[in-house]
Amino acid sequence: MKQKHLWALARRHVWSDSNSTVVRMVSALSIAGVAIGVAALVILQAFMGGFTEAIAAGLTAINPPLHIYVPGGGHMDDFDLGVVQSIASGIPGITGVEGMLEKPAVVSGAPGTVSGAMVRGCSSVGLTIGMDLARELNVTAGDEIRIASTAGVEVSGMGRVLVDTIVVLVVDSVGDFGIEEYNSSLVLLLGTARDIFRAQGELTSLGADVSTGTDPVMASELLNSALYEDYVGGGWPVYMSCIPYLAFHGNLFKALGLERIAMTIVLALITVVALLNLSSALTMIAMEHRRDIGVLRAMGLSPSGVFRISILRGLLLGGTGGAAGLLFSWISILAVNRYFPIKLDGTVYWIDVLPGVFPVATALTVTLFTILVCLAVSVFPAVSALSRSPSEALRYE
Amino acid sequence: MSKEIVLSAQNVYCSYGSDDVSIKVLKGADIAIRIGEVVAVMGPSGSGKSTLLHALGLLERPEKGKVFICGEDGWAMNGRKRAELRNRKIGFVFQFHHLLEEFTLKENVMMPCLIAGESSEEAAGKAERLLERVGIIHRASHFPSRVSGGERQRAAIARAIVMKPDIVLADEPTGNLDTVTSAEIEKLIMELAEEGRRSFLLATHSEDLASAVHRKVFLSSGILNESE
Repeated sequence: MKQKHLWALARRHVWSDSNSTVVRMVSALSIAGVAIGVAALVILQAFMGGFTEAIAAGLTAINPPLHIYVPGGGHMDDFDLGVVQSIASGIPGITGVEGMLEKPAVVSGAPGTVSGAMVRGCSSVGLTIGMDLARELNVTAGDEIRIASTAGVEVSGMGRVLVDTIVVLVVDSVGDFGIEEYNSSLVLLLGTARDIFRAQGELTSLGADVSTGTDPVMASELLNSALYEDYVGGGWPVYMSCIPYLAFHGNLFKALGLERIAMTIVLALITVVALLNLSSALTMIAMEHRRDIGVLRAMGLSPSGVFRISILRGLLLGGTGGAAGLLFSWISILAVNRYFPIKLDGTVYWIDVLPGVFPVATALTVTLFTILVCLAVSVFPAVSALSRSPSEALRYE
Repeated sequence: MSKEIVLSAQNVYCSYGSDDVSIKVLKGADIAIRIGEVVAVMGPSGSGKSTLLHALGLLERPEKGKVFICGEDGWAMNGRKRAELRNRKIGFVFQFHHLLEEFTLKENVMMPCLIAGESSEEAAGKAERLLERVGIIHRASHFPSRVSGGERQRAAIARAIVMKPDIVLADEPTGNLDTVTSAEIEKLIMELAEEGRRSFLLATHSEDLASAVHRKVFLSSGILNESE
């Protein structure tokens, strides 16, 4: 019998009006169960993954993916930058190394406003102020701000605080760096930062960029190994290390990953329960159509045809449930992102809105797993149908 | 074995139940049916007529004995070959028609052809011609639940002969019908047997049907006899 005719038989057995109300209800419930299980898994992965990705993107928004530093917090300067640039030029995937100077300062904007903020000097173009800081200082692009460096603070004998380094700068742009902490800081040119902090030639850290597609962990290991060879191998008294920037927050990502695994296991168990329910629906459908199978065998349907019909019934139920779950999760994620954004407290969670990112690979894996389990649970009714003689099936009422 | 013989059974034994409580239904049944011959198997209810037909139709494996369909030992081959033999050489008509409820009468008649791997168009052509022949072409697109008992049995007969089988096994084909409809079905069976030189083995209680067939056999105490 051709495959399309076997499909027709399986389809009509599953969606038959002649099925009893109980069977139809159990079938509908089992499909709904599978759909909900699949949707729950996909939606969970979408928002957990979205949260992790947003945090990682925010952390690397103003930080290069690789961080080079002196262990123990030692001093760095332009000479170190030159050495590291020279070493890194031989590492595939690393596109450049820049020096950074990052220090706290007091910033004021509109009359009556003042705030403490981290000032970062790097190779940025112009002065970009974080959106939260801009709001606090009531400034926008084109406005003037004043930055008072802590490097110029002196306390007089009378106990007065004297600040002699106050720089007036024009805001070039207001930026959303993704993370609340960074949105309360400002970024400007390295040279300007050195002027503000009276730190000519000084650097607090070095950052390296990698090309698209390069794994930062791999690149950092290569650079770290080259740095070690050059510094320690060369007999220098100090040396430098390189780590991926996100490794600074490794514990956070590990905790998020663990939470994600735990919730995935719980939801996967719920899906398994739904699939067991589907197994009982398949058994009931097989019982309802036992005599039909006997008639088909009397007409010459081969044992493999009987087996395939049973498997196709499972595929239909599971496939429908899986597809419905995928569709539901996709629509839900889209709707939440567009119309019902989940607001978060940025001071606690770093980001203001929880983004949902449809996890294509996870969705396909979950669907494939569901279909495989459906095939597995279809085997029992199939074997059961084959274990009976056609005569026995024909006598079944 | 004569080439004229389409079905023969030798020393067939069948029983029901477990080893502890076993009811022996057939105790060495023998039968041979020639091409174009219409044979009625008669016997009281519970005598084993249906079991005999199922054993002869390769639906139930006998405990002992052999069943030959057109010279081939039906129980000596594997399941796939046996299914193929049922599809091409044997037609079945059941007392309660056993049409597939989810399919129209035409689709029911097409089913053996589809099982044989024929295309939908080819199968539909054959089904339409046969539904025309048995007088229910106007019901072709109706589902079994929407037609009368007589029309269902006509569709079941059309389904049984659509593959032009050598033998049709009919289990009480008129057992569930009123007198007028029974007479119509009996007439149809005899006409179809005549037209195609097709053999029929009918299990029946109907004296009317039995009187029209070529030969009668009686099933009694698990053995087939030519006389009561």
